[in-house]
Amino acid sequence: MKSYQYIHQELAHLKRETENRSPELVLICGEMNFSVMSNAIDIISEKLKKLAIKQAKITKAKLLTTELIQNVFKHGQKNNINDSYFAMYIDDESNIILHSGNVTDTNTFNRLSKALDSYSKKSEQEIKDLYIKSLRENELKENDNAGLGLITMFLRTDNSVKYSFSPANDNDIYYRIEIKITTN
Amino acid sequence: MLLLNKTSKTPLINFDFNEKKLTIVGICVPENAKEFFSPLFTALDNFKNNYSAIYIEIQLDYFNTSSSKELLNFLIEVSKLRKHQFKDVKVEWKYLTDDDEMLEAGQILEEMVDLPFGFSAIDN
Repeated sequence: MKSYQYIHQELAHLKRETENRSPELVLICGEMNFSVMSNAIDIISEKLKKLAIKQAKITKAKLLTTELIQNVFKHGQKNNINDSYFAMYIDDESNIILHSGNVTDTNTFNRLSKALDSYSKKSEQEIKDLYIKSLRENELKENDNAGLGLITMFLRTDNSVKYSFSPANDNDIYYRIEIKITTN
Repeated sequence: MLLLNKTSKTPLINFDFNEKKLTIVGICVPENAKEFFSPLFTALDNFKNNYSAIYIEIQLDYFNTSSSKELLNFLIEVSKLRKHQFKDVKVEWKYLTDDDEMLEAGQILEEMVDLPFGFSAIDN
């Protein structure tokens, strides 16, 4: 399994962003699976409860962490690469920030960037309609399920998903998602 | 009767035929949602020919998209049966007080199926 080629620079960047926020920081690197996801959600939930964050925001963080980590390990399994991370921290305005990064191939990049660009232009109601339509369609392929995960992220964040792609090498693309959950 | 114990990734599922009651409570992020929910569809198949009412109580902490899809498919099956077998059907969606996120998740499901939903907030 190829591993840890790009993650060092990603983590260095994240470290700069999260300096002085260590008490709230949750950072997971490397191979991810359902157990890692489940443990991460437990830790996040505990930390947010200690910060007296409202229940609805904690649930939102748990739902979105589920989708982000699942997204990361689906890409990891597909590409046989382990350069993935997930992070949660609280920013200066007390918002919850969820961050993930992973490597993806160029074919997936083309599909993902098109989908993300399209979702980001939709209104709240359009995203909700698309979510309902996608959920109703019975026989979804594996790729479409990933699409449903992305739509869920837009639905649950009132369309405030930031994403970026950068070349990792000739064949691979590094793919990041950042989600802000306002707590006020 | 179907009883699946709660785990760190899957909810308690208690389908008590005598009580005509299905309870789903807990976290729902199974690795394979289709496989996890499969016994529930089988249990519904066994239940439907002998009973004319069903009461479904759902209280989820959080869930993944593949689970919401299976849950929706299950409720669609129940709504189809409502036209023939089931005379009395009720879905009670429970959520923690102030957890608007889970309330909204239930309301979206309600929009998608032709079943009577009730919503109740419970204390943490």
